[in-house]
Amino acid sequence: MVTGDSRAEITQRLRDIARDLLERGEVDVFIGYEEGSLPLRTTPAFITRPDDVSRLTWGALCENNLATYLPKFEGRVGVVVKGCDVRALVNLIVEKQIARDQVKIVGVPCQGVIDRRKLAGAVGEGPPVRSVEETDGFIIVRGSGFEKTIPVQEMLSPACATCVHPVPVLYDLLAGDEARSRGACPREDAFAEVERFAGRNVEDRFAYFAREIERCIECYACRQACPLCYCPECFVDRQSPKWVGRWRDLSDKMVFHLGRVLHTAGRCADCGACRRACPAGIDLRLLSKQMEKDALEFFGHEPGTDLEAAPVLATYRREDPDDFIL
Amino acid sequence: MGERGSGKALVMAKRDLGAFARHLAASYLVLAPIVEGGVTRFAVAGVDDIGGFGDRESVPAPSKRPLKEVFFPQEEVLLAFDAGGKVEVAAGAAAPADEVTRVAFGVRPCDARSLTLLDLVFDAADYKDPYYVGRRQGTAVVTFACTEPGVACFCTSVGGGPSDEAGSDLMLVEAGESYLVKPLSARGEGLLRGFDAVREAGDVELAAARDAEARAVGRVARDVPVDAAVEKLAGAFGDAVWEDLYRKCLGCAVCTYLCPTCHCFDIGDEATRAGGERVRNWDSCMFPLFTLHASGHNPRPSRKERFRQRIMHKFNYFVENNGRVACVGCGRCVENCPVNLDVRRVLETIAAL
Repeated sequence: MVTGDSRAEITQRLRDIARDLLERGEVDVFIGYEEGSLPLRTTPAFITRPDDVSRLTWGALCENNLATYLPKFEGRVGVVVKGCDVRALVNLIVEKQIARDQVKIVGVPCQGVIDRRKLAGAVGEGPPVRSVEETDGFIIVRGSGFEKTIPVQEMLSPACATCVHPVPVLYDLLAGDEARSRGACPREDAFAEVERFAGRNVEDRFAYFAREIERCIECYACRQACPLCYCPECFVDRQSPKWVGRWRDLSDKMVFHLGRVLHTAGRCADCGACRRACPAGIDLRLLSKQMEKDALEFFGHEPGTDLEAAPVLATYRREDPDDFIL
Repeated sequence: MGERGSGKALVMAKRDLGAFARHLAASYLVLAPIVEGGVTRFAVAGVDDIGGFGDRESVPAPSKRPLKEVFFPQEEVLLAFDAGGKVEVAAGAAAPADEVTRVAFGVRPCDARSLTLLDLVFDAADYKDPYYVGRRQGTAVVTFACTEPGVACFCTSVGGGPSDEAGSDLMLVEAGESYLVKPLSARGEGLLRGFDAVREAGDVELAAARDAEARAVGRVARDVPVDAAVEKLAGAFGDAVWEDLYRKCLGCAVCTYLCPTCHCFDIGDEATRAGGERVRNWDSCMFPLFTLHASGHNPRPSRKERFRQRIMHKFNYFVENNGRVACVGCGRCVENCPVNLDVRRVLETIAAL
């Protein structure tokens, strides 16, 4: 198994880079990760003083996509990105939400992030996990009267399994060795899950999404965690006209989720932030993964990989497929 | 609520818990923590669900969604109207029946305590919300003392505890192979009527329960300086500290919607051409729409002001209005925040100002 650079090495490089950027005044703030307040959590850290860089950490629990803090960012910023995170950032630059020269992109060749729900399942019911130790390749969880050692690779977020670009496609500085990132998923395998799902009949598929979306509590954590959901006013918040009722009707919740998926079509690079943020554990990836596939197949567009490529839904070419229009 | 029970402690064998749940289900609608699609919430429990509790080693798992929705649902119809001018007020607003018809079973002490805070809002001297009061008076609360507080818990810092009795009608405390059964109100005693698998507690069981309680208190992960934070907040509205505190907040409503004491709501009409309903929905101070004026002006224009509002309301305004902090230390906001913005750390930072 490829274990990649050790966590400690990457952590040290991130601290050195952050110190350097702050000391030389190249950035006003450096956004990375620090230890969280719970055993399985890290938390975004906004570092403004070189002396604080020792707070920074790295590991398979660094799950948040920090690009979500960058739309309309004021000042110069350094940001730690994984392979998926930077694709959101590329979109933000293309869509003029942040200028390329405003941001120092600090890439980490990604080894995948842990899915906390999967891990909770592996630990099982019973007393809570009280401490976690991450070694290279393994995570050791402990609670009163138990200890389990679990391979990180088995606990990875589902988005990691289909990741085609574990090494950031764009960066100013790289905190790790490219060759030692997690192996990329072959492109032809990346959409296997959505293809399987698309093979089911339409009633089945609708029933699946209805069951998922029914659990939505309309907290909008998915939207807020998404780096691409930066509209100053979301369509569901419009009062006049009121597009969506705030009511127990499933169709209202559906309109929100389907609208969001369509709005991020050709932009979403499947970082999984929406799914992770959802307190109801709704499978929010399946539809957006289908959009990613459509963008690639219909328009030859791979979201967030090219600073020069215009957003698919904001451009028109004569050869764009239109056979789905009656 | 209601008059206090005799306080005489009883005891039942753990294996009889399922039988007790079934005893309750025979006379009441039982609401218990049920897993639906991976999310635990209080919902109407079938006999199988309730019976299962008896087979478990320990008490039902804490629910992810808070108990408040049993009394103050996320969405509720206040009244219906039609185009002809006919208005029908929803049945919930009828004069509250004093008769207990529902039992919330498998409640945690923090959630039970949250009801005593919601009472201050919805059952206040100057205003009584008939929908809430009706449900509250018609529902008895059966609580299980915590033996294994979670890593996000801080109930002991806000006046509660793993076996806090506030808001409960009946409390079950693990005592070895038995449960100590403490009726805390006349309603709690009523729940035991006709259930003969209880007997008076002996010294051994009382001691075992006391030990379990002490152990649980020791396991509450964190001691948060809430009093000091409350004191500092009085003068902290304009402090620069908010600038640091709010930065990673995403502005979602996970914390407020899963909070057992957050109680803000919005009232709107959901209408068609033929008529419609006036509905009340949970709302959240974390959303820009919460304070958006019709003029377009928003007095809380950024996440900073909105984040500050949440902390100020819980630990300053509510204290000024009601003399208590609007927090029971259940840890749901800590556990479910997508970016681990931990209210305990926020309070520690403020206390240190």
